Amino acid sequence: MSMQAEVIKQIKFGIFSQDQIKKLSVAKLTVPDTYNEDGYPIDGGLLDQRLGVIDPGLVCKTCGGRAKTCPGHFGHIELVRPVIHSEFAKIINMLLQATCQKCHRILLNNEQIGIFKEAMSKEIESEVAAGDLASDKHAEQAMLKKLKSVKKCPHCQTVQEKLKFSMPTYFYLGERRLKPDEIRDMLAKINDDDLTLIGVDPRTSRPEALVLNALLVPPVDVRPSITLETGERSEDDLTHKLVDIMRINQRLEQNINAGAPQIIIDDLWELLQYHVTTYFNNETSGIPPARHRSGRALKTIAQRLKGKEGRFRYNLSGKRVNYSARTVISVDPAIDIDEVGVPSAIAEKLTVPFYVTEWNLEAAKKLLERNEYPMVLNVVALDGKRKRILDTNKEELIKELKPGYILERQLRDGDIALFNRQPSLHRISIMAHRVKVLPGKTFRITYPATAPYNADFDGDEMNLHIPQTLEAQAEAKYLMAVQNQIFSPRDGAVIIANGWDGVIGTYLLTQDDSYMTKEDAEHLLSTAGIRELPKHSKNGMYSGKSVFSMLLPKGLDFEVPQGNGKFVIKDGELVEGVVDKKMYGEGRSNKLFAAIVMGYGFAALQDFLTKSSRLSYAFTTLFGVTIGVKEYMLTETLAKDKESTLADTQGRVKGLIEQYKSKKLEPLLGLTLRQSLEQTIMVELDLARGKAIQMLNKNTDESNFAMLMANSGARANILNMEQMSMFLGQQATREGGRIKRGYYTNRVVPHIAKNDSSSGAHGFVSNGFVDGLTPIEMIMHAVGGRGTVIQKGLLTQRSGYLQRRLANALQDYYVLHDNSVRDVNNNVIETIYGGDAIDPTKVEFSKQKKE
Amino acid sequence: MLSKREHELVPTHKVISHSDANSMLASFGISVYNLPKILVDDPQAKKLGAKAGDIIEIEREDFGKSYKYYRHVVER
Ligand SMILES: [Mg+2]
Ligand SMILES: [Zn+2]
Ligand SMILES: [Zn+2]
Repeated sequence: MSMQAEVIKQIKFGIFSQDQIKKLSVAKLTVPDTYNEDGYPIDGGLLDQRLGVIDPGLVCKTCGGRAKTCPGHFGHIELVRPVIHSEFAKIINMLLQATCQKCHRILLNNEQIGIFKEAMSKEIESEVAAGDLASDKHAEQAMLKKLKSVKKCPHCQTVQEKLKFSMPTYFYLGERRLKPDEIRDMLAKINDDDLTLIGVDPRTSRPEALVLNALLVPPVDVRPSITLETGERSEDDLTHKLVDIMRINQRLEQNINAGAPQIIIDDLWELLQYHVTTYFNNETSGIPPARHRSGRALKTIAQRLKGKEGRFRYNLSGKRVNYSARTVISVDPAIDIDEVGVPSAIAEKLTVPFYVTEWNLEAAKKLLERNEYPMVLNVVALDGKRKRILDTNKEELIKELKPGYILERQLRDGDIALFNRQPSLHRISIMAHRVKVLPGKTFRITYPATAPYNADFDGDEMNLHIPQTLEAQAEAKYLMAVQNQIFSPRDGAVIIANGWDGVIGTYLLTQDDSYMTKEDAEHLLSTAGIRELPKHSKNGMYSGKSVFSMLLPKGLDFEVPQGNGKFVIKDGELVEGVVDKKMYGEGRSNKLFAAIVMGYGFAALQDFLTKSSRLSYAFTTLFGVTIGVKEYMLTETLAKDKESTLADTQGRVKGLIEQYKSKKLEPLLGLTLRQSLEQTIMVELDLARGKAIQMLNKNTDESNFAMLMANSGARANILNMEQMSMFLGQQATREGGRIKRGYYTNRVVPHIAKNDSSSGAHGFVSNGFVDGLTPIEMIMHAVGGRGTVIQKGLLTQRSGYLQRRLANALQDYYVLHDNSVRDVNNNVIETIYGGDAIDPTKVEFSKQKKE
Repeated sequence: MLSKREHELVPTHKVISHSDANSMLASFGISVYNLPKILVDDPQAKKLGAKAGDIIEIEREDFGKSYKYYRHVVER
């Protein structure tokens, strides 16, 4: 098949006139039925063979084609009385409001018309120049609003009666109902020039066509009937609806011919209007939807197109793609961060094109000869026809193979693949990975690569796409590769890095007192793929810092402050400091990665990340890190200290309440006495928590693994520890103060005395999770917890939608070579990107350079 | 009283000459219609006495760096 490429500049929609409908139609349909007793389509019925055929045996009476070749043809129904096209009722109303009820001219005098014409042409000019064809026409809308209130026609001086429109298709002039035929006459008398002013193009859309005399009937291909197993035929919803329309149309005709009373004719006319309205849209507001006998609402034209399951979002925007795969993801610390583990079952199905040239013809033949993975699945010949390789045609294909052929070979290690997790909220939700074919049924990625996808391994599924052209592969490889996404496009922070046990390992390894035997050093370094030992050892023992230094690029110099001291790397040797989450993990505090990239490139950073991860996991394993309840048990002294701190605090709170009651409390600036009491109590309770944390910190060392986790930055912090081992503290409310409401008499629960201001009565929990909460404390905790959950839900929902709207509005903007930001029509959005043309991913680099 | 014309947070606006405008447009490779708009009755446009079709240059400042922004004056 030859193809002709043409660029569609614009599409213009218009409205078919009644004449056009009749010209387009191949058959006037008159019988409100489908098949006769013999099971043949009735002539003049809704499945008339002139409308096309879908049964394999039959021949189309219009084009002579069979089911596969006949495209289908439109027919029409002639309505004995006209009806309003309900989907256009609003436009009809607008037209009637804008024109005189007697002479049908636009309700503007000649001078106004002149001014308006000029304003409109200017607007169109500027819109065309800016490539903005679809914008609202402001001048027009402002005019139409004004026309509604014009009392007297400036052309024939007729006073305008009040015109009322009522959904979906009723129009009233004063008290009198306007019938569709009257409306049609009114619309027909509006002249072309006035229509142009209102914004209707009379060349493509005359408004009287909005009142239907003839109804276009879509071909049978659009509404195929299906045969059930029982042999019974079942018709499409549209066919059902068209049968209804024709039945009423026929009855209306019979009644008119028989001279029936007007009231009966009007009722039937109304019914005809109902059926036509629901034929276009069965969810028209103001009228009940038409239903099947089963009670299911019919799916008519609008329902086929609209919404999530409609033609647009489901079939057009939501097309399924070839060369893709989806499965559950899981972790694999043994692969590289820029790799993706692909199950062999998937690798055997997905293909990559091998373009045959005169230089690789021999290689191509060898590939084609293969009988096992990785082999060729399909061959695309010069005519573009794709042939599946079978044992029967293989020899033949090898013989005819020549430059220009394309071999579709199975996916193998090193191929480029795009990996994606929904929701795709930012550009790094899709990254390019190198394929690593593995046994098993899941996709595999490393822990550091989960961050940009926001993925975890609790059942998440991800999609894999194989780029098919060399250009696509190159773009993916150089622009979307994982190692190029390590720094955030938002602020240059590190987003792909190690965490959890990966951070604990480096933290423990690089402590000042960390030394190990030669055997341990060899084991650790070999897991990272390093086959040398550090140069220096002390009594046959190797320091953790020197082992870690083996991972660093040779000659790296790096220095930043750390705690009260410094973190120093000199000539590729870690001489001072500890590799914790702040130095080595996600976030803006990690400056080490930028230093490595600046001196040695992204490949070196990727290498460092991969090797240090493996070494770190191995060291964590070797060291043995585990936590249990014992980590949260208090020593006897600590338990005593806790009790005395709480007693102290409670005593002071009591004192404050006494002071308040005796009016001796010093009021705080700008607060009432009551508010001052609340405020001072809150401060007092916060202080207690601060003291508890201090005590815990002083009396616990890193032999407590919970403390180790907090200090290294791997997970949690001291507050979490304190809440478990000492006391939970004040529970928050959304208003910010202590918990006050709950039970109806100004107390949280009925078990508390009225007007009790003490700490326990308003959400202060003086037990930790280890000791266990009292029932009242548990209620307080639940109240606080629920508030937090609600707030979090509200916040993420709102900000998510906000962010999405922003991203959608900005997605097609791009930065031109002159650093200005443009849209697709070359409009200038910013003269300089961000006001300074700075690329946030490289901010940290420029800082490294200065030093 | 607060003035929309003379507020310290409003960056400096000025109408540029036709020749300056033309060379600016040429440097971006665009027509006036590709510029963002400003209404003739905008307080700053009124203050400058700008007419529809003029181009206003705005000296913006972000993070201590200043740069120029341009708007095409249009009728309401
Ligand atoms: Mg999950
Ligand atoms: Zn046909
Ligand atoms: Zn008139």
